[in-house]
Amino acid sequence: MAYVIEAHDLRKSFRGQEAVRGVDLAVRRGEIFALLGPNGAGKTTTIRMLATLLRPDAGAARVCGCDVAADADGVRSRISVTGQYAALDESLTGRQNATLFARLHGYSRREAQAQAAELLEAFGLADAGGRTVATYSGGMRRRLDLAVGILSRPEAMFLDEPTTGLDPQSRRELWEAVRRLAKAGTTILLTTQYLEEADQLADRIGFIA
Amino acid sequence: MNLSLLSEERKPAMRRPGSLTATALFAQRTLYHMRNNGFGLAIEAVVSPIVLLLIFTFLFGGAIEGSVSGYIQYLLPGILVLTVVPMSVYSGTTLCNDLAKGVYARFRTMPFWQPAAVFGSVVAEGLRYAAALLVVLTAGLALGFRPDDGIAGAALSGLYVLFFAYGASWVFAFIGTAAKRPETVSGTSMMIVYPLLFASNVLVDTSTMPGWLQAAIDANPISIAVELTRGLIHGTADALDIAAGLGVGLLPIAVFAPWTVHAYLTKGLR
Repeated sequence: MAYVIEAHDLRKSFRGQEAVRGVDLAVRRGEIFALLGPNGAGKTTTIRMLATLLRPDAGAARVCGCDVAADADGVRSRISVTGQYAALDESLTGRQNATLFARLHGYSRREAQAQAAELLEAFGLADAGGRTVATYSGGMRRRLDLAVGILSRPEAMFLDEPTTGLDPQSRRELWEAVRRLAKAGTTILLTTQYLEEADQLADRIGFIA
Repeated sequence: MNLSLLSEERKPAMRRPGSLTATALFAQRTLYHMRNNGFGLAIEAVVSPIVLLLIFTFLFGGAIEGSVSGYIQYLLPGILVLTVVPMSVYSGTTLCNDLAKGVYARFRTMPFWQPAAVFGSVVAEGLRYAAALLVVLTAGLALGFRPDDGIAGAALSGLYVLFFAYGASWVFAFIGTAAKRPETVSGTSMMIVYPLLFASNVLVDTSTMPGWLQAAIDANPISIAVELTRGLIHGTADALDIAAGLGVGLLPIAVFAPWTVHAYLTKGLR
């Protein structure tokens, strides 16, 4: 497999408005690829199509060797997605979230608890693990979001504006986490509106406007 | 940050959960919600049913039936329904909440049996209904309610109300997948629930009403459900009551359960 994420001429319109006008991209294994563009450029729509959350109107994409249209389940079992807002259950505690998602990924009860404990520790959330996510700061949510995202050991991760709304300290912590994930072999496609973030973090940058 | 757990040799076994396991996990999630919000559960399943029962028994008891102990024999089965049906609106708010937040995107990109997210929460809601039913029955017994058909009748009618509430919960679950915001779900649902609850035979006997009104009130699905609940608890239910009562519970399940699951699965995919 040459590329982990490949898209060719992806297009999507909403009510006649073209949101994505023919995106082509190719991302190699272990690479951090940043999709840079202003609000409304179609970054989120592109990610949602690649993550099988939206059906493209035209074009084709393969993620981890699976076609996003023909084999959505194959894609889903190999990726993880985090949106602009943390994809967590706010009424559950950090630990309950991590354990629930681990179980849904198919870990045994004991393994799920061990994984949850280890990830909370690694992401600096061990002390906050017993509090509901509703009480977390923005930075804590994003970190938990990432932690939950790697439970399945995804080959590719899609991060939609992972640092929007974070303070500089939390942002640097999140960058560090992303770098380590990539170093461990995870392919990362992220969107951002900040040139600095793309510049600091990404191996390659794609512009979308 | 230590990410040694990401190395390949530490990759633990993962087996895609079956549909039952996934459903059980979502049921457990709902139980966690209840546990994390124990205060809300206590108010909703314990305090508010008792308050309702006291208000209707003492305020209406003298005026309608002439005596509190006489009226409660008529009222209590209706209060069972009156308590549980508004609680079933929650299945809609939960679904709408999931759909409105990013957590839906995460669920959708995980390779488990997707309808589990809908079924699991609806199933677990039953525990709240059962708790409220027990509270109302116990409080009723303390106030002088005596089921003519004994424990068996009370248990049967409790089971029936549980079943009926499950039926109702699918209507609200569907509203939950159609609405944009959770506030809309409760608003819309209450607009349906309260007129139906009060324009029924929950509080008053329909036999004193003019013919056209009686016909209308008796056709209200709530009246049909309450009729069967009363019949079961006092041992007077006939085959027609049972058929009609089961029908008004099954109909919303047959119509709205598939519709809800379909709406959930296709939300935002167009």
